[in-house]
Amino acid sequence: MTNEKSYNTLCFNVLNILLGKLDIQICYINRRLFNTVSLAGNLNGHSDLDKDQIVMANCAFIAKNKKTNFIFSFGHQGVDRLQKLSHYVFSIDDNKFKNIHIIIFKDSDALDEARQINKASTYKRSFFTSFYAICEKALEIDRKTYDKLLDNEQGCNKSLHNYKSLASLHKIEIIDNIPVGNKDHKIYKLAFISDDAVDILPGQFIMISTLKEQKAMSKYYKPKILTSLSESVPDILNNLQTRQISFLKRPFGIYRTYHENFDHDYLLKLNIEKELVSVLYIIKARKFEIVYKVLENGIGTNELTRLTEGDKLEILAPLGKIFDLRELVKEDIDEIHIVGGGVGIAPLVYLVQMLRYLNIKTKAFVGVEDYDALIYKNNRVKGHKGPGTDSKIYIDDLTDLGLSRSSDIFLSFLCNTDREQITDLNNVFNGNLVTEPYAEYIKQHKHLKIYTFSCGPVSMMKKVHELTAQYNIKSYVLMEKRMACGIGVCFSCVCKTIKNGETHNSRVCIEGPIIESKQIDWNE
Amino acid sequence: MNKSLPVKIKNLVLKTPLLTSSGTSGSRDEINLLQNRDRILASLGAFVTKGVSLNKSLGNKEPRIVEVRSGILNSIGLQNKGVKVFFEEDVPELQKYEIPIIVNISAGSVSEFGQLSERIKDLDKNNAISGLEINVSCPNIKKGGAAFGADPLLVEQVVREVKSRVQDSFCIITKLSPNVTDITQIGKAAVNGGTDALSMINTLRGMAIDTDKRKPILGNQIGGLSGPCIKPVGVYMVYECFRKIPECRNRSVPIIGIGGISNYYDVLEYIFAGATATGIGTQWFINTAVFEEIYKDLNDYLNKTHETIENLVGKAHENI
Ligand SMILES: Cc1cc2nc3c(=O)[nH]c(=O)nc-3n(C[C@H](O)[C@H](O)[C@H](O)COP(=O)(O)OP(=O)(O)OC[C@H]3O[C@@H](n4cnc5c(N)ncnc54)[C@H](O)[C@@H]3O)c2cc1C
Ligand SMILES: Cc1cc2nc3c(=O)[nH]c(=O)nc-3n(C[C@H](O)[C@H](O)[C@H](O)COP(=O)(O)O)c2cc1C
Ligand code: FES
Repeated sequence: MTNEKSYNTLCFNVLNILLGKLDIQICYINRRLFNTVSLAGNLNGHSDLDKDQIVMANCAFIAKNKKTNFIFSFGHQGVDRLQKLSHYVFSIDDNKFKNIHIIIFKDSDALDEARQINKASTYKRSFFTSFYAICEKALEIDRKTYDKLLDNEQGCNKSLHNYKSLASLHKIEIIDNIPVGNKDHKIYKLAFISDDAVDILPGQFIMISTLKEQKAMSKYYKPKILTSLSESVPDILNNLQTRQISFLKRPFGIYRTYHENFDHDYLLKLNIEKELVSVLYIIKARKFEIVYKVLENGIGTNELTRLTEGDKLEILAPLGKIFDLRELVKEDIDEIHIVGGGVGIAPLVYLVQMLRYLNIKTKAFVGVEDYDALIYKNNRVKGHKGPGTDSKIYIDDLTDLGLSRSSDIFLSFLCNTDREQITDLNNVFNGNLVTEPYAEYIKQHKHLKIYTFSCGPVSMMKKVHELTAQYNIKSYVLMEKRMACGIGVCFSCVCKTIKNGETHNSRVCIEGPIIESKQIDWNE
Repeated sequence: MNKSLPVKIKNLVLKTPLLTSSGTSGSRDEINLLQNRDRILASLGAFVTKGVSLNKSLGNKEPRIVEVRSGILNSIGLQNKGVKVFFEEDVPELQKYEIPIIVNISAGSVSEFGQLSERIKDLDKNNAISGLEINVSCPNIKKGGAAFGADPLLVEQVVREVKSRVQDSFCIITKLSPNVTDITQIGKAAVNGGTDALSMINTLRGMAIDTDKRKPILGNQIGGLSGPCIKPVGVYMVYECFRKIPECRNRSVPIIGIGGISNYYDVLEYIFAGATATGIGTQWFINTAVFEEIYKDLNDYLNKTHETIENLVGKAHENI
């Protein structure tokens, strides 16, 4: 590319393939940034921003669909300009997601840099993409036009999927650790904030040290830990005459992530065509939640219950195979279903978060023991819920993420529960396994193209596998096995799989946790 | 490169005295998953692979690892793809680590050890492999296994057989089992068989019982104990071998100390006991930064004391 203007022009023209397809109209072009004679798109729309002096002066172009104004700029326009624009768009939008700032970077390194959490104050609530990401999408949509545009250009075939999601140790600090349900349910929701960005995708997992300052065996070993040992040993273990303290880290899936400057329920408002949003990235998450079940006599999970605000720990993340949900946008899927039992719902909620971001239609089938198992005192959420109000785990978060209580969430109680308690959900099933209403639903929706993800007790996942196989539904499970290392070196976490008629012991931490259910040897 | 850290195991020059220990760091490209990959590889003197056998093995029943106080019990059962696939799929990846590769080998009989090592010699067309570590001590294989490691005559035969098949193509290390009455007897046998170096210790046999279900926890019932809890045993065994085996003492057959190492103090303990290099296993599951931390700390220590690893070997024997 010879100079900046021709790069900008090319970039615009390639993006225009996508915008054209999605019927997104161009409202304003900042002409001094382009070779105007070569611009492929015409001004064919109007937005309330194309007279706004600050936007006009700082952006590259503006486009809009029925609901949203997209203000585009280029990463090389200079940080000051981009910062100014980002803050301005943020301020006029008032969290309605009607005005969205999108910065186009040249390559995935620059894109990755912009997504680091220390950039949250610079780029505020901007979305990011890269030239390569746009190229890939355009190529998918209209190869001919794309080839014509790129005829004389070199080096645009570099892969976009250059995720820098290598695992490393991160320091985390506990925000809160809230019991869910009553004493018998033994479920907790743990929120923490990480020192630096952890780019973790749905289906991946973390290994967490469950004792505070657990680097006990390394050189950071401080005698202090020894003297306070009895304090840091969970009560339950003391009661049991202290079996032992944890030694290995413990694996957990992510329940939700939170991104700076994005409200907890922003997905209720964000509504971008999936083909466009699948090339857009936002600031990396810094705040995470996991939901964990305390096992009877479980050493690590009992230690976790002792954590309180401010405690510092270490995690190793992200771990597990990358399952790129963005790829699913290409497939013409009608609905994605999640089927979860008990605490197995937790990692599926994060999957829903990503699916909702990608604007993919999602239905959730959730199975819990009883009504009480859902209830916790929420003392954190800003906005509509006051401190100490009752919240429903899974259900409230799925609603936050944009699922409808009347048509997208199907809740099954294993034990009989007073129907009166749940007045705002249409689909509640009493005394049922989650697989029963699920079987009914897919029977009635045979004609749809469905993908299913399930997680929970093995018997439940097996049942989902059988049901989906019956209707030729592509089905994945999130497998759970005892792990020691999480990085594929100890061969502890194996699960029997069948490939080409041969039995293998596959490592769940490397080949999973998301595994296509037909690959699993369910007769084990 | 620091001049005080390199050590020699026979003809093999290691840029640091830190090795991975077999079965705890994978056998292909697993380290590439980590952000600190380059720092890890810069801290390692050599990479020791997971145990490889002649034929594919699916390994043992689950559960395969159980946590115990300050350590773990494992009964993986040598799951591996067999030597042929290992060379096809894994060795090309391992070479990209660009550090010496030592292949840990396992077999059920003397002749099988011979066959296996000859296969490796044949398959190693690119000279990717620097050494073989003979695992005569893996307690998990029902056949042989423990019996090998405890029988001086068999150990001597195995080492001689392997040595005769590969000649000087590889540095031959014999890995000793701690599940014996007198480890120095076994060490001597390996030396007589012609081993180039000794490594010790492998895991200690042990078991754990679920008090609710009243049955053994491991799928294989018994397993091998590793981690900080076994370090005193390892240090003692290195100390004894250095003291009682003349070839170890004059360092013509150097010792690689393994067992429970978590930090640089532990490495120093092994070196003072008589080890020339050290292997780190279980701690790696707890702390993926362990190699770079120890590397840095050792470096600082040697800079402060103006010493080299080579001249610290066996120091504890002088100071009694
Ligand atoms: C990829 C993955 C994701 C997971 N996500 C979640 C989650 O989101 N929420 C949640 O509540 N649980 C989750 N689990 C299960 C969770 O890791 C175990 O419940 C937990 O490790 C038990 O630890 P403990 O110390 O209390 O039990 P102990 O019995 O004291 O643990 C002893 C050892 O066994 C392992 N272990 C025991 N039970 C299990 C089990 N059911 N699965 C795996 N390892 C086990 C432990 O990790 C530990 O190494 C996940 C497991 C995996 C593999
Ligand atoms: C999961 C696991 C697998 C192992 N596999 C092997 C093996 O294949 N061959 C071998 O010689 N030793 C094997 N070992 C033993 C280790 O190499 C090492 O000797 C032992 O764990 C003691 O060191 P550590 O306390 O630092 O882990 C294994 C150990 C563990 C924990
Ligand atoms: S947990 Fe170690 S190999 Fe998967």
